[in-house]
Amino acid sequence: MTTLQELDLSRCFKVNDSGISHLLSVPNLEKLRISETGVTAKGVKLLASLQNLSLLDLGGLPVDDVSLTSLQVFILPFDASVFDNQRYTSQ
Amino acid sequence: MKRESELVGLCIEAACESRESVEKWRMQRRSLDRLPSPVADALLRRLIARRLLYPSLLEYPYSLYPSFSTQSCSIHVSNFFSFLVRVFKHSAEEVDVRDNGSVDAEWMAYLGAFRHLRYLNLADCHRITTSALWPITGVVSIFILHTYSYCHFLRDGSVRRA
Repeated sequence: MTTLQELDLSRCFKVNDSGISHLLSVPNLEKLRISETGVTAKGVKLLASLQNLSLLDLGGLPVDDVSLTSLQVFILPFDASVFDNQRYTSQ
Repeated sequence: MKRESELVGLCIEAACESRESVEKWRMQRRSLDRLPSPVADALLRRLIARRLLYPSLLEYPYSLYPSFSTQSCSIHVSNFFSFLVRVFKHSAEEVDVRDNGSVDAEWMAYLGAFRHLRYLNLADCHRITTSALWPITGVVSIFILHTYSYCHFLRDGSVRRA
């Protein structure tokens, strides 16, 4: 679906990393909210392929340094809401 | 999301006033096929919020499905979704169904047919699974499968031809 720009899947806990891999075929996605879903650090790393992403809500997801590093491909201003994330693990 | 203008708001309010008013405009379906997107979005939003969209209210006549045999297919449950697709498919740009426990894979199959969908809010829709996302990610064939999901007499050969 090329028209979709904003998708909110917050607290859809049955959506996991496979769901993220499907979303990679939505090329114009700009805002994605996946807080408190079943997505893991592996799924977060996949998001780097979404080149038009400007807002990403990862609240409550078990992200780590490696997955965050993979998101460095995004240029500023990129708003990733991970800093209030108590499951964030720094290595 | 943008709010509708006062005039559009009054029209939407009248259209969603009761089950009877919904029934009136449902019968004028053809003139609604090309609603301006702000009106379509507002109408859809209001109908969802007021729980005025459900199968028995928006039942779609079998006669409008020339490709289906009503003797072999039971499509009652899908009538609402077919109606939804028909009216809003070419107009709706924003769909907000957050915290709606009835939203599932079948909903997604039909939302996947919306041509201009730009904003989709599924927050707290706990029946949404990974596979339910397929239709909005381009797996068009899922839409076909759901459309035929109540056709108990379909065999493998029929699906291959579809």
